[in-house]
Amino acid sequence: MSRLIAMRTLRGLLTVWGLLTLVFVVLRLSGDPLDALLGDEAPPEVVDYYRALYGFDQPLWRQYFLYFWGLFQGDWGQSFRDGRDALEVVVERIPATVQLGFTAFLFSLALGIPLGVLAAVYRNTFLDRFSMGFAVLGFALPNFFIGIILILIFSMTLRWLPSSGTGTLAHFILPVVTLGTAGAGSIARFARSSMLEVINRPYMRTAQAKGLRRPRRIMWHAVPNAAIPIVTLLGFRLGDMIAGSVVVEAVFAWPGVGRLLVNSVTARELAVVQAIIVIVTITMVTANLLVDLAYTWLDPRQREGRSGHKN
Amino acid sequence: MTKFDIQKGGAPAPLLRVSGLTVTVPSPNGQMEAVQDVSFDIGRGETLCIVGETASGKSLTALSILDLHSPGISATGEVLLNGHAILGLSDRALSEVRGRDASMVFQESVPALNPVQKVGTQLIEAIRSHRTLSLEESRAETLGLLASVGIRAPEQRLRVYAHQLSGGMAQRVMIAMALCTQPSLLIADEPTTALDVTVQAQILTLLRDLRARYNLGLLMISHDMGVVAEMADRVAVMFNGRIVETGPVAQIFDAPEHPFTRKLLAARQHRRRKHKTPKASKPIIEAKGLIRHYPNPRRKLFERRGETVAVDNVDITIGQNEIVGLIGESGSGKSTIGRLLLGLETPDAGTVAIDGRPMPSPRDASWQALRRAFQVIFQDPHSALDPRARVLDQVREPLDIFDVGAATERSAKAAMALDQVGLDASVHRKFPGALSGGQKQRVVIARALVLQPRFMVCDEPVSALDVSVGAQIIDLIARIQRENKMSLLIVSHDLSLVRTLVDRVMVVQAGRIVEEGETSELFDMPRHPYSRLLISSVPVAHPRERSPQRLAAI
Repeated sequence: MSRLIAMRTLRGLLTVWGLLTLVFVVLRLSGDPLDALLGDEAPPEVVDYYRALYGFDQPLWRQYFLYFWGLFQGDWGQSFRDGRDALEVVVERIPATVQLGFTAFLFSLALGIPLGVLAAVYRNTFLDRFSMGFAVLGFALPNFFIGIILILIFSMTLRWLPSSGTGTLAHFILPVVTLGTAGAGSIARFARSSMLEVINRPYMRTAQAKGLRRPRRIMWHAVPNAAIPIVTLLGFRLGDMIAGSVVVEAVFAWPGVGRLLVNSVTARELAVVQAIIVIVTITMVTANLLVDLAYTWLDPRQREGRSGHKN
Repeated sequence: MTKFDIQKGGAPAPLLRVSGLTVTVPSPNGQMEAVQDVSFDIGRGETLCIVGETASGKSLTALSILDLHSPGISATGEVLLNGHAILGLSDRALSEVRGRDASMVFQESVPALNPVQKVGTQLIEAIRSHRTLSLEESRAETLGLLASVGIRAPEQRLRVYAHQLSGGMAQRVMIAMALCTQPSLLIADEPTTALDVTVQAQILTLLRDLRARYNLGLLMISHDMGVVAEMADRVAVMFNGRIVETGPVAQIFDAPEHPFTRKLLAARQHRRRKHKTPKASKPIIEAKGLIRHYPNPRRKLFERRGETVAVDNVDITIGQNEIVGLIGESGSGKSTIGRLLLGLETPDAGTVAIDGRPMPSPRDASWQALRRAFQVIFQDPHSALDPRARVLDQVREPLDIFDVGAATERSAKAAMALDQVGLDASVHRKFPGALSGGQKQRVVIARALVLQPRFMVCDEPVSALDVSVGAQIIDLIARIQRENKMSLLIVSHDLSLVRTLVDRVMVVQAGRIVEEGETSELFDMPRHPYSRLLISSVPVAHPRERSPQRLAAI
């Protein structure tokens, strides 16, 4: 266990470093941040002044070195627009994104798992076809499209729900449904296939031969075994949630990290983009580590190292 | 507990009455009747063995009694269990009967237990689904049962998971679970097929004890006439979905009527090989002091890895044209010895000499020649063939690899090899999926044979096959050895196979060779206690040889 955590942390740090290097180089190759900040008509002296101020006159390798040197001292760089610490700018947006993402995640679980389990249990019936149809629709339709359709129906036509902003619980509904539907779709499909995988296993027949009724066989014997592969998917889903939030936050004017990322990239806020990348990567690495730990908790066979050689 | 219904005629209904049972399964050509018009009775304390081969319908018959069929498979006819008609009941009504009137034990015992629940949880669940006992009472009952099925330290066993149990241990747990609801009928579908012969003997003894103690009716499904000889009061022989012969066990063994029954019985009595007195010929393989260990998986970051010794100081010599057998239980290291002799694994210590020269390494020029001269036949023909390549191409492939002759010549040679194993041109263009298990094993043998090897390792060559098919394959291997003049190493847990086929036997226990001798000598007078145990565990050849003392010794 400790070995697992140590290895993962090390690998996570390498991932952060690699990604950060990539983003660092690409952002600087793709355009001059000062163009975005000062506009085309700024006098050359002003441009030079800022260039020196932010260190853009230095060679790239030196900027790179200085940036990492700063990171180790807790200096994430500054936002060009308001001169605030880049990390601070990002951190104040995190709660909104976490609230939205987590709620959407729960929504996709609460919808996807029962749908998938029911589809497997009532295989090849109307229920199966209906829920799988829904699932395909859910992950085939792009987020922004679902979002716009929902706004059209519930905000513009019916006028039941607000179309943008935060504040009340009602503000949550449309973004959560938009962001969660795609997740629910893929979770449902995955839950169905892993249920079908276990439902004909020998231990299910044992449970039947013991005289257990069907609901108990499903809930106590099939679902816990089917849950093991589903957990893997959940780790990936978290990444999709973050990617999805970029779009959904833009559509619903949600003041979260996703929208900050879009704005920062357009404005060439180098330090802010880099800070977001670091935080997202750490989140992903942590999520995958949690998935692996959940594995060992769900599956006793994983607890001791795989039992050795069989003859 | 007894609930004998009195029928109109006044005679008590038997514990189980099956009449006109027909089971329909979906097949590519529409619905197929896999079981047709099967009828039999079982009384309390009585054992009926249904014997047959793969796809004879015997397992489907067993599953019908508690209506445990997968969706799509339907059973019609009448199954009366303790007077209750079973077929057509709802899941709810069936759940009352299942476990309470009859319980079932399956062939694969570890996979039959839920891998994510502790063994104790599953046992207590079974008890509490039929009996109103408190958690504490159920626990106490469970402990008692585990002890009575021969599990030591039952408190600890309650807390383990299925994968931590050996096959035999898991089967004991399954039997305890089947009995904890106090059924009057126990259905056992090939309960010992996946187990080692010594463990099989223990489980059979246990079943016999329990049958006597609880006055159980026992329905046993088996493909093994030895198990039948050990256990049955009456026998029903199934063939192609029908019961073709039924009667008391002695009658079936002494006066079998149906040709299929005779074939089953004959499969157990191969022609004995005329054992040559080992000549002092120059050995083809001479191995000395072989040691091989495998590292255990690491559990903690800085833990020192332990090691499992698979082969422990083994000396083996195999002469020209000699057939040597390695017998032992699973995990004894016998397959590893085979791989070491082939050069597929490198020993950690010790030497293997081929024709007096040391075993070449993959970098040496003579490695290719060795790979050509040494071949192997695997246990499972289904996975030993490429499902996407045609039979002739697969047999020809070794010739292609070694670049033997012209292309047309290779095909002709491959066809000859197939012909030698008894497969004609009609299979050449087929894919393995279209062949039966026995045919596949013939293809595997042809593929090994096509290079005209000098030495072949046959690793459990028939254990994945039906008895009568296995008998043919054994005869084939014996004939090919005679015709092609080569040395064989037969690795098997099937003692009757080894006995009929080999000149010299080595008994392997925990990586060591504990006894070695000429076949008939070793089987008739085993000296090492482990050899004695192994040989006495083999099921009897005829029901009259049964004796409680014989098994009590095990």
